[in-house]
Amino acid sequence: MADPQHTSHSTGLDRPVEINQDLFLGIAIAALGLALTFWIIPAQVNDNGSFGLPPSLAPRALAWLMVAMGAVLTVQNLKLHSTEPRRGLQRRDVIYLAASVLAVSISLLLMKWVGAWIGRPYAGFLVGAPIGLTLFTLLHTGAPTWVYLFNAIVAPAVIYAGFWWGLSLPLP
Amino acid sequence: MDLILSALADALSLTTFLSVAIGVLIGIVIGAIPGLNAPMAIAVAIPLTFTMAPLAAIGMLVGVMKGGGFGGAIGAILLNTPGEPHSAATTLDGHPLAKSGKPRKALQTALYSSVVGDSCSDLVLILLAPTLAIFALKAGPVELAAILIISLTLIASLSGRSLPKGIFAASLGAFLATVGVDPETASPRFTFGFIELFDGLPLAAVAIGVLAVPEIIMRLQEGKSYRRQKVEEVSTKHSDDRITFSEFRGLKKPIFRGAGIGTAIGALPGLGTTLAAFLSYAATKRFSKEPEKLGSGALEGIAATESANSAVSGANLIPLLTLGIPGNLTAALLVGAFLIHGVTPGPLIFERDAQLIYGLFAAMIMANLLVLIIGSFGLRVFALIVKVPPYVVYPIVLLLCVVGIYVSQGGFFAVWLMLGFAVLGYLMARLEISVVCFIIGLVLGPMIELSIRQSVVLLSRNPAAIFDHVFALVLVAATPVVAWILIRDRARLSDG
Amino acid sequence: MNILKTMVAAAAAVVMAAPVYADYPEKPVTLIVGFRAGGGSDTAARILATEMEAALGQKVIVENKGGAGGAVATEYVRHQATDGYTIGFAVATTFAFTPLTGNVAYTPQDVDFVATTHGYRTVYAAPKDAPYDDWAGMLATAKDRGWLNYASIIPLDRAIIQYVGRKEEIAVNIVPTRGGAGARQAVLGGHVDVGFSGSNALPMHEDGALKVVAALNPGGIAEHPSIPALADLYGVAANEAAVFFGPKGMDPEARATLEAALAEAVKSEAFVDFVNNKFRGFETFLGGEATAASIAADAETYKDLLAAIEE
Repeated sequence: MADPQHTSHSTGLDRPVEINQDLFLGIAIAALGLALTFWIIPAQVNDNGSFGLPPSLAPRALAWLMVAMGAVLTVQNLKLHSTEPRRGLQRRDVIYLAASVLAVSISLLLMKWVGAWIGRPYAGFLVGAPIGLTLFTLLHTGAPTWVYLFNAIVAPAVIYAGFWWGLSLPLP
Repeated sequence: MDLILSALADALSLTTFLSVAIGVLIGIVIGAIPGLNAPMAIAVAIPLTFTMAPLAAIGMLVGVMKGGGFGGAIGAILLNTPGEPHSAATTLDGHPLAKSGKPRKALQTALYSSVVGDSCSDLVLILLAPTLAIFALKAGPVELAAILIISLTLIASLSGRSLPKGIFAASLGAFLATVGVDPETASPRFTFGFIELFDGLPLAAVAIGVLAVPEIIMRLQEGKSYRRQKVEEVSTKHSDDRITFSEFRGLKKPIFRGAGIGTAIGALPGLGTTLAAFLSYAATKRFSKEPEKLGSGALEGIAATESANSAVSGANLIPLLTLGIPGNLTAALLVGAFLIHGVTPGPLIFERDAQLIYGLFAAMIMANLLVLIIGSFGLRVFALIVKVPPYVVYPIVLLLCVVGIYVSQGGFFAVWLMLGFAVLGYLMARLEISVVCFIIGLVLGPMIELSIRQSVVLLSRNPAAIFDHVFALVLVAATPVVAWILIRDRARLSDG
Repeated sequence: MNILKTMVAAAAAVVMAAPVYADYPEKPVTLIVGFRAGGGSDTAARILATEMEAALGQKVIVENKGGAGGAVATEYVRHQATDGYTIGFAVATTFAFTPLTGNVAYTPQDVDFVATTHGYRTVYAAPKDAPYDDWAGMLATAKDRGWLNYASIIPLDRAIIQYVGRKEEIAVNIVPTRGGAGARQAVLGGHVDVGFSGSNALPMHEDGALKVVAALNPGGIAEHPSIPALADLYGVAANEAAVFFGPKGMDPEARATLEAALAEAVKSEAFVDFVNNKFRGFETFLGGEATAASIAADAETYKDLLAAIEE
């Protein structure tokens, strides 16, 4: 079945032989399962006071299932190189993801700090949202100039009007 | 009879009609806005109803619920940004169809299936509510555990290309769902000292983070290439961007199957919409003549999930009205509204508040018709969204997700979580790990854990009582058989 | 930057223009409700907020920060400015019981209480076809069989039934459920012998859909005197009430103004009707100091209760 997220991703630069990502993914999944079992679960779950099945049972079972699935995936992809055309995660994806997260973070921090500084509802939003939207539009690249103006001014104004007057919901 | 007639008169009064219509409109609009969803729409509408007459108020909220159900499909289909976990099932076929230049056809299929599914379950509610509610109560923790386990096995056929990756995604989802205060010992699990996590990860933040935000980031990343391709598509007039009557008639099997599954699951408190949507989808894929087409824009897929989703919302009112037990988040919000308006759910509600309840039934049917009318008109407007350039739509949608989570979850914490899950969702999508399996694990995992732990406590002093649960034992025994059949047919069912 | 601040503030002031006639409040007050939108607690808070607006002459903005039984809102509010423009709404056990579990960083001393506005009633409910009709009958059946299956919702109700189990020498099988719905389902379906419930079990008791066998709130159920209160039988109770509070060191003038506004608000017709006839709680009003004293006393009894079941 097709994954809803994975639609028409451009295949990028095709190189004849690629590192088989699923091999490393399998190892990473197994490592995650082991880390959960031996480190996170003992540190974060307290079984005292249990009278039926202990609270750590389900997390432990799931972590072992992850170890098993990681192992199967590793074995299935034991050949180091894949001859399939390049798919999966690439460096530019990671960079793009980081940029997107940074843009959202900047806008969130602005909303939080400005909101706390002025101390009135919507103050943070009115500063953070236009800057955030400008950054998001910048991420797309290639948008005409009027779009920046539209996104940065009209859109926050409409959201503001809708949320405050229409729904009377407080924003930061 | 007089009572029913006067109830009808109440329902057909202008005030009630207008409130239901406004409710449907609010539901469709808020449900369609990415980042917001049906429960959010109800939460927003409840304070508006404080000063209204009981029937108008409850009719309005039921309108919001029904409108919100269809509205959720709009965002899911057009932008691939589902606002609730169950809408993820609608995106599977809805979005590919909309992307192939038939947004209206996709929305029409969703709307008509949704209205049919909803009407079927309303009919069951009206005719059978008290009897069905009592029957549904017989399902205790042991039965629920068995139902959930066999359902999960059926849904496992949706695991995507790689079974290990699918199972990993489901285990990760179920693992993350254990975050929060343990219901049995009251000690926190994996909360890392954040009291915001005591009640578990906020489902809306996780769902929108994992499902909607990565989609937005990927569309933004496509930059210009996406736009050029799309303008071409839309400029070519698609004469078949409309569902024909014979096409719709061909969908009666998935629709009625979905309505049946949705009604059954809605009447059983504690299972929920997500299970119904995916179960219906999996069943349709299993019995479809062309299973390989599901997932690439098949009408069957949209019809199956939307009829099941909507059927749940009608049937959910069965345990709600007769037992005071809400079946999902939306229904839980309605309990509060009933309380405000002095309607006390209980088995005698049909005698105590007869006029109001029959009025409510009439209002529900009215709401279904209004969803059909307002929806038909609205989908023409909404379908235009695909013509808006992506550099306008996606930045705004991203901001709406941020704002929506801030408002519905009450603070920045959930927004940061959403951002974190967006990273996870993006990586999963790029690494071809099924996000759908993750969501199914997240929603069903805790239900299975809790019902098994409840069963263990209940049987701990009297293990022989397990033989009183024949139905559950049969289901558990059937599970390996089902699993074997599914593995045998896997080659046929996996997408081509 | 200061110009910007003034501009944004001015814009916000224009948008939310309201008559200004007192020192406090001169801008909207934010009420942080510690529960999800739509429930009984949230509704009461919203009705009170509307009534307070009239008394304060300012908008009261309701913001929901649900989670951990009011603890999330408490943590948020106690770190806000003490000017009285951010106040919180939670319940008495948020302060009297939750800190005893050792999972939260605050104590009742870390906030300033404004008022207690109404009380909650909680009960133990049994299935309608249970072979007993009252508390004594239930205990007899459980003793005969050797155990009692019990649907629990929160740690406090669990502690109380464990205490009762010790006193009566009955083994209690505690079935954990999530939220009121799960416990209700277990009781109505007859999957347990008895379960914890809020006052919404009372109408169902009157309909004959289930049997309320005991009350957990100290005063019992006034309209059903035959239902015993556990406070009278065992000296244990869940003393639950709605509490308004603010951050520690809150401006005393603002606190007094808010307390007076709430004292007026609880007398309003809409609120009285809601509490008595819809929410099925009980009317009570305590000022800030009385609330603090009542919570301190509750905390002592809960401490003893937890010590007793630990033994």
